[in-house]
Amino acid sequence: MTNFIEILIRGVMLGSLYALVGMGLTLVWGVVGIVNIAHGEFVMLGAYLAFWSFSLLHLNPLLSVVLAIPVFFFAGTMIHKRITERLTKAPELSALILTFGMSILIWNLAQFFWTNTYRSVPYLTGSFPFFGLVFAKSKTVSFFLAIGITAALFAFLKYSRLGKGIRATSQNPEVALVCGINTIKMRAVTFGMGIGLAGAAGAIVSLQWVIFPQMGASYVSKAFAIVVLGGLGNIQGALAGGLIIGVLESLVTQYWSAKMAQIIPSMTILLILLLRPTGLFKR
Amino acid sequence: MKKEDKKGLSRRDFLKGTVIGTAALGMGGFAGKTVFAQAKAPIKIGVAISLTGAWAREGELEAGGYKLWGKVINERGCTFGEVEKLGCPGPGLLGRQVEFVVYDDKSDPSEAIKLIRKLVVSDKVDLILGPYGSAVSNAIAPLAEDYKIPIITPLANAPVIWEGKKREWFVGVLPAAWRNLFGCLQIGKEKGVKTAAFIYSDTAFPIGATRPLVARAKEMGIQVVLDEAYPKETADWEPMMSKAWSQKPDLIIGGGYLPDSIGLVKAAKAVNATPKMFGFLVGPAISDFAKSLKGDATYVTGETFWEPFVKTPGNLDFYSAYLKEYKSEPSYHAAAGFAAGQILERAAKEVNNIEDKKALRDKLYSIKTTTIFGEYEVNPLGHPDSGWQVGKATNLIQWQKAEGKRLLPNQVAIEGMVKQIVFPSGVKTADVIFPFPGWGK
Repeated sequence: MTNFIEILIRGVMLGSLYALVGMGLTLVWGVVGIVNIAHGEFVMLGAYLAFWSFSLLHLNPLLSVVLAIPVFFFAGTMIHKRITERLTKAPELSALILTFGMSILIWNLAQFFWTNTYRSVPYLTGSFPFFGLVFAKSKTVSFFLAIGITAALFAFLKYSRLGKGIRATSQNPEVALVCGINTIKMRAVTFGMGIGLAGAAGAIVSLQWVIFPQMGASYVSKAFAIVVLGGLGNIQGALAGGLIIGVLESLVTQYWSAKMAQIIPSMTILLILLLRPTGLFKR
Repeated sequence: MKKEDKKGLSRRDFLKGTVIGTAALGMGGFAGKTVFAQAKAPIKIGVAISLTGAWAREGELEAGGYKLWGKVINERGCTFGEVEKLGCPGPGLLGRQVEFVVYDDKSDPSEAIKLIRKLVVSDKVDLILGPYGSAVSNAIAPLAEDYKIPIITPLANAPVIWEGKKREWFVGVLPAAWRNLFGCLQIGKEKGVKTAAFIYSDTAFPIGATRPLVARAKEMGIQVVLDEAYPKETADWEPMMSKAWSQKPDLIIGGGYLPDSIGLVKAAKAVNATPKMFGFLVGPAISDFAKSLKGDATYVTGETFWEPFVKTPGNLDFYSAYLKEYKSEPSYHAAAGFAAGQILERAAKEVNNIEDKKALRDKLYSIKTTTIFGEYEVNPLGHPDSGWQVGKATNLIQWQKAEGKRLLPNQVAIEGMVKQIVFPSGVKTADVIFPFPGWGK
């Protein structure tokens, strides 16, 4: 039983990180209407930001998480203003192709500048005991960071004027425009927030896993499953979806096999699209 | 080429440096004294190798070995060690400059198949040097037979490639996979271990290496408490390590490639796994492993096929040349790539041409030589496992604290640790530290 609880909690911790990645993707998808294939690459860049800040500037990786949010937010809004805004009225395929190209460009540049060397941030390694259970320090801290960022995001969207504007743009852009909401600005801010979340998730990932230029692919595939599971553009759904996938992955690895656990995201997409295309948590 | 001197090898450097650079080097640096070499068409060597994807780092290192071999032979007409005895008759191989045509197989066996076809049919390369890893090598091996072009594959050793296949155009350089990490079992048995957990990547080489080990562990009376492959795409090894450690085994053995080894060690520390010994396949022998994990790499053991400080002919020269070219330590991947070139060099010189592919093939299957990487001898033609490497030995390394240790020539300390060969006893440089003392000790 102790082992089961430990595995379950580890799954929740893992899921909180997946949720962070998934929330960024679903936010951009739901509000801006762009399927950002390059989302995983921003996770990778976030991880490198933490790595280089730690290696070169000896900056605490936890501070890198905080730093990543404004840096990636700014980069995201710039990318949207310069590139992706013009795709909002274009067919969905255009955005898919563009972000796919962006994804290839980013990881190729990362490979060119930083090589394929595998890197990791040796910070918060090891574990600590908790009433007979053992938890990784990095995962525990990551969990609280992810929860903190998620709570801040929820509060921002619910209570701030800008957040309400984003929600209005997401629900009906035409009506929002008529009501005086600058939907172009809302889309730019949302795109920036999505990239900011990806960057923060990447900085958190750097504490736990190996960093290399092509690491983004594994996160984007999970993020897609989370978005489909939670419902397109549904932030709460993405949080729940991330936690479900994390817990399932953890339990299936322990009690069945790691290979089966790896199939979970693709199986989720398939089953949800077949049985409930609107996602488990329809708004 | 100046650019390469400034920084590590990248895909672009490699492409530029090999296809353009080697030719330019030959034409520029030796123009006055190599009229004979310049008059002949260059030897085009095709390479389809992982420069992106899961095995990009390993492929890049291997490609670095190829490139260095090409550079040295283009400059001197011979490389280092035993092949020097065949003479250095001026720049190039058989008086012809070596040029590489390189493609990225993206760590994808099906992509590699297309690229090998392209190399043979469109680029009309004279020879082919192999890709990285068993999965890709196994995919392209039938093409060597189809096109009747000899391929030397330096970094593949899964049984599935050669066992009972009677390959006639495909030779290996690495020792058979089942010899890998045998030292862990042997040391463990001598020290009285009772249980072992095997967790490994679900790809050709780790499977080929680990499954025979599982069988041998059982034969040796070691109880196997877990035998499970995890997917190649795994990014978080904690659930897998947690599962293995829940059985409290004496040995945790397996892994796959470099990211697996780094990830598994991080995961082991995260779940506070403290078996008596850790042994991983590819990874621990690469300096990136220690640089990435720092002190957490201490006492981890791993397989190695070569080290800078092993006493093979020409090894010190290779090490110096590599260090000069790339400003970093060579790994065994680079050494194996370089050695594949040396094997080709020897066979071509003994046959004295490269056009007669059959003669070249026969030579590759019959020579016994020693490269900077170690012995080379494959099962001969007609043998059920023809082409499979049988001459090369394998060693087990362990990262130990460097403090107070006297280092051998070319043995360097990284992050306060030093790699020691701990098995077999004939070549060991230090006694194994057993059992694992615990994290941070």
